[in-house]
Amino acid sequence: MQENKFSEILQNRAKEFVLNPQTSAFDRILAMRKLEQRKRLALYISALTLLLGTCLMAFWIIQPPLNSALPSKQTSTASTITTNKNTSEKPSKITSKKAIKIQGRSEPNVVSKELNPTKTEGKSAINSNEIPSIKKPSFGSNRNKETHSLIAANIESKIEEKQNTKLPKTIAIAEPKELIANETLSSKPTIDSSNIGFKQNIEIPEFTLTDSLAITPEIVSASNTEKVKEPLTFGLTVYNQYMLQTKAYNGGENQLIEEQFGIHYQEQAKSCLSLGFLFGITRQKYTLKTGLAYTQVQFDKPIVQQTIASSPLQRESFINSYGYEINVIDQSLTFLEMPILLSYKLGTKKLNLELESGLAFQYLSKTNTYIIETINNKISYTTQNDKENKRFKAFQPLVQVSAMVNYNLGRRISLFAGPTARFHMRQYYKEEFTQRNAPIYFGVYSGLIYKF
Amino acid sequence: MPLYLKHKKSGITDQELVQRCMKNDVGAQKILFEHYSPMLLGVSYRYANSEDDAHEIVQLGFVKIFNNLSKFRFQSSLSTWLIRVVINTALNYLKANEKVKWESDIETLTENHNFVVEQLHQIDLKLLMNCIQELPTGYRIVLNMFAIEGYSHKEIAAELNITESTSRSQFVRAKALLEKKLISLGFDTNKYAGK
Repeated sequence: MQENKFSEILQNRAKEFVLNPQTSAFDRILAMRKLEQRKRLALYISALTLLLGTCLMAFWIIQPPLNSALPSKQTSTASTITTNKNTSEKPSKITSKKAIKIQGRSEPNVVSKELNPTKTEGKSAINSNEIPSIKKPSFGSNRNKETHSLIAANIESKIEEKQNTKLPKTIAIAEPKELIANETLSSKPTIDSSNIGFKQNIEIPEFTLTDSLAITPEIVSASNTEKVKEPLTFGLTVYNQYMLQTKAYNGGENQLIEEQFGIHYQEQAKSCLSLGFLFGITRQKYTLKTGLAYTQVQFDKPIVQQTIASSPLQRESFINSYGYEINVIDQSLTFLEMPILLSYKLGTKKLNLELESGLAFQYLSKTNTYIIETINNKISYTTQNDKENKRFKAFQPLVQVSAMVNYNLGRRISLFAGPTARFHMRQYYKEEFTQRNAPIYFGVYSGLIYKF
Repeated sequence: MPLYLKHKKSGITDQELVQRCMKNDVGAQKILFEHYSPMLLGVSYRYANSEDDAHEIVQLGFVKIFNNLSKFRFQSSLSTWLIRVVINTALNYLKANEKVKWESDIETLTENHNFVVEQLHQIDLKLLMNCIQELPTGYRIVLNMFAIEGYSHKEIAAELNITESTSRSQFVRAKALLEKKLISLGFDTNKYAGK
């Protein structure tokens, strides 16, 4: 009753109390707003730059450099492909009659090669950058029949693919230094491989070759196609991390917070468990991964110890200063986490090493708090959920570095495990008086990767 | 003539004023500031450690107000919303700039105090506010939030991340300490005990 009256009177008196603002207060507010807007703009620009940088990095990893896929020597060789685009005739059907004969020859030479000369007369040169250049097969002294058979089989398989496609009539003139194909003007065109620069005469079995070869020069070399079509693979990783916070990083176990009252805060080891999944895009040896994880940080022991301040005076004075009881102890924090990681794989064998680093952003979703209350000199523990997270920073950026041993179980599935470290950029608590440092964790990182 | 009187006389409603402020109309912002800042300074004075801090809190509060006026839905009066923003600003300010004040006379206080409330009418207003301002930060916040702003202990506990029992004990101690301060200033509560 008296309490209500006290409140009522105080409310009425407080309403009467007004103060005049300082003369330049409004100008200062406007200046503060401008400054804040500038800071926000700078933040947006930084974030945008970071985003663009990340995108460029991802693009650089995913997109192969075009020139590197093609042999440099080939661009300089006299390899010209001509196409008669003006003709309205239907493309010639591929028949066995238009076979090209390839024969071996001992000395290298350069001879222009015209395919399908019977139906085209006009030739228009096309630059090598318009049509993919021919990858020169690596003819050498040790070339044998099997190699030629493989090439022939490859060409024939590609020709079969082209048979059902309607293509413009094409004339190709190829003048590589080592590969010379010569076609006679007879109805049965042949490739005379006598000009091919073999150092030794070898026997090459005859095989048929149609004029489709002229428009698909890149298929001559199987190795070339492998380089052009760089594999881009996708994978899903399911992982767990179990880590412990290092004590050494906290500067010792006991930290004196208030000398006058002898209050110590004891930083105990905290364990951190993360469970999550990552979606990854792999390009060559690099993988860019991102996903979601559930992380729980568990305080193994109370992090706050009131070692000396046991007298009522000291305890109450501390409470009065900081506005809450010292015996409120936080025990576990639950985070939702989004990692953005880049990994580099060393080795391509069944067992290989993978180095991974990146950022993770944690959002504090829940805290569980133990409250120790002393009633009649007996200590009782109760738990409380703190959904408001008033005492903790909701956003936690951290850096993660890992090295994993990767074991391929099969073509698609692999297991990995290895050490990992996490460096938090900020401490968990909003209050500065705790003098705690941003935590650092070391632990084990393991999981399973499925490649699509 | 103060600008806020012009504002009232010109018949501009709070809604119109807010809409103009949202369009970055500096004139409207100045009217809003000059109209509400005395009241808001009174609020922040009770939370702050000093008058300078109170001015700073109000300035920070107005920056927030101008930046977040679009969030005001007119579901309450504008003054209520402004007070709420300033209180939040004050709490954040106190958390960020915690100044420890160790009171030596706390151990002599008892929780069940027979505080005589009628005398509060007779105290000089500025003196009363100064006494509130001189309370330790924890006491001052809970006293203001519970007794003046009308928050429940549950709400205070949620806001300050303390337990309800802590809030209650802080309030009782704040009351006791406030009485002690008034007595030390020559305000005799026993004189009115029988009335």
